[in-house]
Amino acid sequence: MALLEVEDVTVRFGGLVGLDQLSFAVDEGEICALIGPNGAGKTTFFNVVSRIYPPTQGRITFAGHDLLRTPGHRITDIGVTRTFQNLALFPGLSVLDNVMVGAHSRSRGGFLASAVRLPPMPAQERRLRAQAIALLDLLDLAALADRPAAGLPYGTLKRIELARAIAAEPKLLMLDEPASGLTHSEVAELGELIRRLRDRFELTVVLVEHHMNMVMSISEKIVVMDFGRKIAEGLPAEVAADPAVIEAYLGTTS
Amino acid sequence: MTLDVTPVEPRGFLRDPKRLAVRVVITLAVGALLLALPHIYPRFRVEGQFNVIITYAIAALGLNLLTGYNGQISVGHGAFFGVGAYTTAILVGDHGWPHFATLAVAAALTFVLGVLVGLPALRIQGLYLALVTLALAAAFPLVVTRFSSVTGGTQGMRVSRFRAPDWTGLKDYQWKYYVLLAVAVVAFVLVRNLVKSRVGRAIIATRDNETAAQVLGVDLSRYKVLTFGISATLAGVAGALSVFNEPFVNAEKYNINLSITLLVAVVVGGAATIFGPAWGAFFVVMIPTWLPNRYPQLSPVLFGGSLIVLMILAPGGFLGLVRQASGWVRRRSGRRSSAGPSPGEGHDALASA
Ligand SMILES: Nc1ncnc2c1ncn2[C@@H]1O[C@H](COP(=O)(O)OP(=O)(O)OP(=O)(O)O)[C@@H](O)[C@H]1O
Ligand SMILES: [Mg+2]
Repeated sequence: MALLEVEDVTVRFGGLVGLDQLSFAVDEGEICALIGPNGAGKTTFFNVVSRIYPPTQGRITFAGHDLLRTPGHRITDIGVTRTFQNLALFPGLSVLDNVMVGAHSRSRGGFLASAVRLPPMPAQERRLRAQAIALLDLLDLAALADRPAAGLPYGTLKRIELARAIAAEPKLLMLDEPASGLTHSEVAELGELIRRLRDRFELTVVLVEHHMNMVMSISEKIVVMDFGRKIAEGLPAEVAADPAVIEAYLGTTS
Repeated sequence: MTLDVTPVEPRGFLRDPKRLAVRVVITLAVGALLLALPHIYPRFRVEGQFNVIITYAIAALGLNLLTGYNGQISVGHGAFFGVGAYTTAILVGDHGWPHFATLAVAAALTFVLGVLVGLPALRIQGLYLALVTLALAAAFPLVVTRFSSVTGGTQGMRVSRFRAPDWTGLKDYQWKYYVLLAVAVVAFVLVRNLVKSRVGRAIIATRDNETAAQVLGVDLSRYKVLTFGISATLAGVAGALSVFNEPFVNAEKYNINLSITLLVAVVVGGAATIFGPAWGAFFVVMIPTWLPNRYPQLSPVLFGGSLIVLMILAPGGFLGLVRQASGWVRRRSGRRSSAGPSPGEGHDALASA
């Protein structure tokens, strides 16, 4: 069953078309890769789903919700979260606190309750902390829990962002180039990790990635974009053999 | 699909009995010292310096929440301080209210004002916000003068003194000190709790990366506006308390200088640290008294110069320096005994609490 349904979504930046009548669907539990050359509109698509860019037309349905009527700070509530192509951590917070911000939408308590530590607050705080530590442990980040989330290796920071996203307990996890800056063997490990996380937390994953080995080995479906349009969609093997895809990637004009 | 969890050990200083002990000892010593101060020092010191430090510390605590933790610059907090001061002065002076009752009104009024300033602040940032709040600071004395029938204008107005109840056996200036200190302790504890909660994390996350904070579910407008309101409330309460201490208000007391002094206190003490504002308030009040006063025209220059030196030596403010130093000492002793906590994990008792 489709968890995410994208219908006819168009985004314009002035004269430039970021997304051009994009339509596709992602099934529940699936790892769906979204690939395409630089500037194809992959990040733009993430920004539309996370309600950063308003589309000029189109409809997006997520788990029965009209996503484009959901305000930006409510998309985690309905189960959508993402990572960013260029890191978007909070450098003024520790690694642990970054992950705990990930749990913001599934915790409660306003200014007053927090300032006077109303009874449910300390217990909630202990629970969130324990969960965040468990999550850091799972991603081999536990030793860094109290470090500021800055000045660490790029790949480590990317993994912290992944932990932060999972802390939201999403249904849909959108990963924007999680493997960038990783070494060859790390990329393979990351592929395995994404699969494991998907199984363990029952996630649906939309993966934007340029590392084709990883894309081919872990995705169940691939959507290929170029100039904001969908140019192919299908199983990895089908897409790899598609002439339009080969042309977009190799730039051959035939 | 919940994250299953294994129980974890207590973290930070709780894990280390030696550091816990150090912390308890420091807290007790500082507490005893603070309680003893008005019995050690004469009235002019307590009234003219310590009580002023306490009111500035509360106001800077509020400003730090807004500017240090939430990244919204305000160069106008002197105006909220002034509104609090006039609220108490008018209610006590003209309407015969008891001093304590005016605190609630000053708090409510400045909260509403803070929210009203916070709303347009959603659309402006950085230097522009600094300018707009600066205009607020500049306008306040003019507004006071404009309504001089109520405020006393530039002449000012004198208010009945805040007296120590007989049962305390304290002199007035000592009583004032304890009342101000008690409010300050409550304010610092509340803000500390707030900063270390999910709300505090959201406030800091908003400062560091608005887009990511929103994607993770932080309602940016709500957090920014409420932070503005609470920040203004603390400045307003501080202003009200300043009238407890010194029962006189006039238009010039709450001018741009006060706003800038509060901002200086935040930065000098250590922005985005809990106790930074208290240290900053201490320095902005005390440094001028330490400077040679043979040439009074020179003292603003000397004050400015000493701030520049301080910021060069300690760009993270006073507590930034303390934290750096304690980290260094801990690493040194850790290396010698090779059993210390790992670097970066420890926080100084006073710097982080
Ligand atoms: N905010 C914006 N304003 C104007 N143009 C934009 C904006 N965001 C993206 N674009 C443009 O839209 C097009 C798609 O960009 P997008 O970032 O989505 O590409 P991408 O597929 O993520 O590429 P990459 O693989 O390089 O990350 C590009 O031409 C880009 O310059
Ligand atoms: Mg991109």
